[in-house]
Amino acid sequence: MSRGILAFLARLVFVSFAVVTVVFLLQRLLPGSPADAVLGADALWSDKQRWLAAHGLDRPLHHQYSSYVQALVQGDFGVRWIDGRPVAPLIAQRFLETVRLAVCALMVSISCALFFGVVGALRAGTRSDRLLAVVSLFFISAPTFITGTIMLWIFSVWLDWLPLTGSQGWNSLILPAFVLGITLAAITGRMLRSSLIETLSQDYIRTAYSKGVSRLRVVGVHALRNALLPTTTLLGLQIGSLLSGAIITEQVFTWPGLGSLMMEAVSQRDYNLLSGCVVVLSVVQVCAAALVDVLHRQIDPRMART
Amino acid sequence: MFHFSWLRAFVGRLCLSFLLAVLLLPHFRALAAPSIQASLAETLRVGFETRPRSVDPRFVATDANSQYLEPLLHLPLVGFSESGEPQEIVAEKIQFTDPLTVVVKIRDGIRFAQGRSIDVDDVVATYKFVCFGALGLPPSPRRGAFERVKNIEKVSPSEMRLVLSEPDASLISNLTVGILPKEALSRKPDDLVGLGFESGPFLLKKAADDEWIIQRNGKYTGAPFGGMLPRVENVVFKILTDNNTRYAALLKGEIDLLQNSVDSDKVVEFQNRRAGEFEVQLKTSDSTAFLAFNFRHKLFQDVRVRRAIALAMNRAEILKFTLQGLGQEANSMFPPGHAFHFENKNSAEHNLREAELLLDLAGLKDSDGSAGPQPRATFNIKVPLNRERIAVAKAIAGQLKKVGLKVKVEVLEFNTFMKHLNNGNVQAWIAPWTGYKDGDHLHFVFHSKRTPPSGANRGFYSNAMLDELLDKAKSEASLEQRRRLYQEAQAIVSQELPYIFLWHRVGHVVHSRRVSGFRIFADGRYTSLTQVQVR
Repeated sequence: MSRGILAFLARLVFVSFAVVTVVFLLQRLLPGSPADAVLGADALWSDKQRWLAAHGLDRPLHHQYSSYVQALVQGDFGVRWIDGRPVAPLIAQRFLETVRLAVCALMVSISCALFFGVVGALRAGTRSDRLLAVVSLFFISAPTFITGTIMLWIFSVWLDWLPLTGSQGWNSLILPAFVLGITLAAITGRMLRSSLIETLSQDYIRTAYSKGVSRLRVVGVHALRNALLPTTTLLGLQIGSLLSGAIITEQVFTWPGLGSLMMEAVSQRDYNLLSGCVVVLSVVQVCAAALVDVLHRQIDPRMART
Repeated sequence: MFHFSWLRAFVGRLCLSFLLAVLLLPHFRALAAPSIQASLAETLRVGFETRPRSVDPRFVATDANSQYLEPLLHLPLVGFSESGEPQEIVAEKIQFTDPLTVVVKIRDGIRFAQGRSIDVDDVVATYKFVCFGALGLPPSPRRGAFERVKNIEKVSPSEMRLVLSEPDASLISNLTVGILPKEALSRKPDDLVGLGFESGPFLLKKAADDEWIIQRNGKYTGAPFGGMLPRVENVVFKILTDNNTRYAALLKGEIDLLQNSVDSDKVVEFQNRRAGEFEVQLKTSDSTAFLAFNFRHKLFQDVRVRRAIALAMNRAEILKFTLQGLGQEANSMFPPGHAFHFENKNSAEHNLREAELLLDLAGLKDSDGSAGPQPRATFNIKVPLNRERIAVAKAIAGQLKKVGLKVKVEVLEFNTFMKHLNNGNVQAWIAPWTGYKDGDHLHFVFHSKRTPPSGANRGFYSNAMLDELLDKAKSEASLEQRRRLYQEAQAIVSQELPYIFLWHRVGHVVHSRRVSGFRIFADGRYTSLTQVQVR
């Protein structure tokens, strides 16, 4: 157990370090100076140089890198260049909003995926299976900004049931969470369906039926549990994309999350802000992978022995 | 054969729950609604495309929304009349005592919201910060406008003096920095909320990433803006980055007003099909779009080529089909009604035959005719990632093809676009100049010494006669003389065509009929918010 925790921590440090290094270098390769973005393209050249010096951006790259890593190790993410506000609380605030959205989207995703997967597998080849396949295909192939905009028009503008934008009330979560979750549900649901069909044809399922185990127990406990293994791997990956890939959904529904903060950081060439966001996301991704490992061991005790 | 009655029951319950949720949802909304409804009449909700970067007068940069909000919160020495002429606000009188000295007399009785009057020390401290910076704080992005200011000093309890290193007649129109109390100047950027440092008709209550709120300043002393307290209690600026969402928010009533942030086709729709619920106001703005050339590229060194391009373009057609008519053809930098507008009588009218003739004379023969595959010349136009500008560039490329010029449109992310421009890594580009009040803008754009990084002559255009006129205008104190000099300078620009001016955009405001009293201005200012009433 302790070896597992140590391995996890080592992975966490290694991934974070690698991400910081790559992001640090990639940012500097982006065309356009941060001084232009902050002071405006028409500001005095001397002011731009002064600004770059004040932020240490006129020093050699390896000096900039070592200072950044040193500060990061001490938990200092730096300040947002546009207004001098510390980056850490800003990211924390936006991250919480993103987590709120991601958790709800994940709930939508899991419940819809279970519905799509179980009904599809138990009714494989029937009309309802084909209908679910078409619905899944629509949500997989339609870009988020299209499904988002359609939902927004139907439920917010025409029916006037839900608020259009913002993150104030619980009901402002419904549309973005649904749009974000349903796309993932469509993919996960298709995977669960295939996995469940395969599991239901296994010998041990037949044995369970012949022993008189109830249908509910056979499907819900024996079959679903085993069919969930590949699905949980996919869900682990989806946590990462839910946290970082919600940029379009955040744009459409004006959700103040991490995605829109990253967009802002890129457009303003704010290295501190962008690095901070990416570090947080990479840590979350590593944690999600570890969580999936734990889940796998819970679902399939054989894995605990490997 | 399996029986799945449990599943059927489950699905049935799920559908029932969904139906119930759908039916009950509007009632939950209604429960939450009263608190919002109660304050609606006192609140105006405005949609913004982007978050203002900063309304701290020391750090207001080039983004329009910050510039719009600043004078509502912090009164400057100088504002502008509708035609763009400087108007004293905190200043009572401004005059050049000699070409290198400006004396400013401060108006009495204008107060900060904290209760204290604005005095000359506050003005001196604010301008010293902007011009010379302060230890431990970032430099002001506005410093560029005051590069010739050498010294700022108090000369009497109501007067200050600005001493210049070289004459700069445009200085007065740059005295638009909002005045802060001197004790506020040691504070960090934007650390000014809730401290009563405002002197304008509104106070800043909230500056978040998703919305900004300003509130009526009960201690506002009147001048300017109609000399009255704002009629609405709060103005909420909701940041809605997505085009469709902004449009939907206006339709749904989540916001009341949008200025210049609805697509052109939607403006037409509001005018024609939704006139009962919404009012549309239009006005020619001071945003002038242009096609510019890099003079380091051999093709554009010949004025006949530049003129041929101007003649080959059909701006009326582009305006009609790409911008839904929301533009007025431009033939100079400043729009009609602007204090420095130049009426160009030699503007190029669309004429394909003359364009072809000029290209022939310039040695660019079309060997296989305009329909043939071989172009006379090839060049690229760079544009930033902006749907409208891309459409315009493509339309121009299509029109120039008719005279045998092959144009490739290259779309770049904004910062990359600016880097290419400043490095001279561009042949031609499309961009607008927006909001410039003084003729001195021509110096910044066309003077041969103002190539990057010290100016915006990004086409590396050079004309000794023009330089001389622009230098003379910069040091001329008389407004009449300056106007005359800038007219002459613009006449040269209209002959030489370093820029082909395309159009002045027609600004638009769409607001719900609940709102009355809002007035559109050419520069997009929001000063009429003080007159707005919400029913």
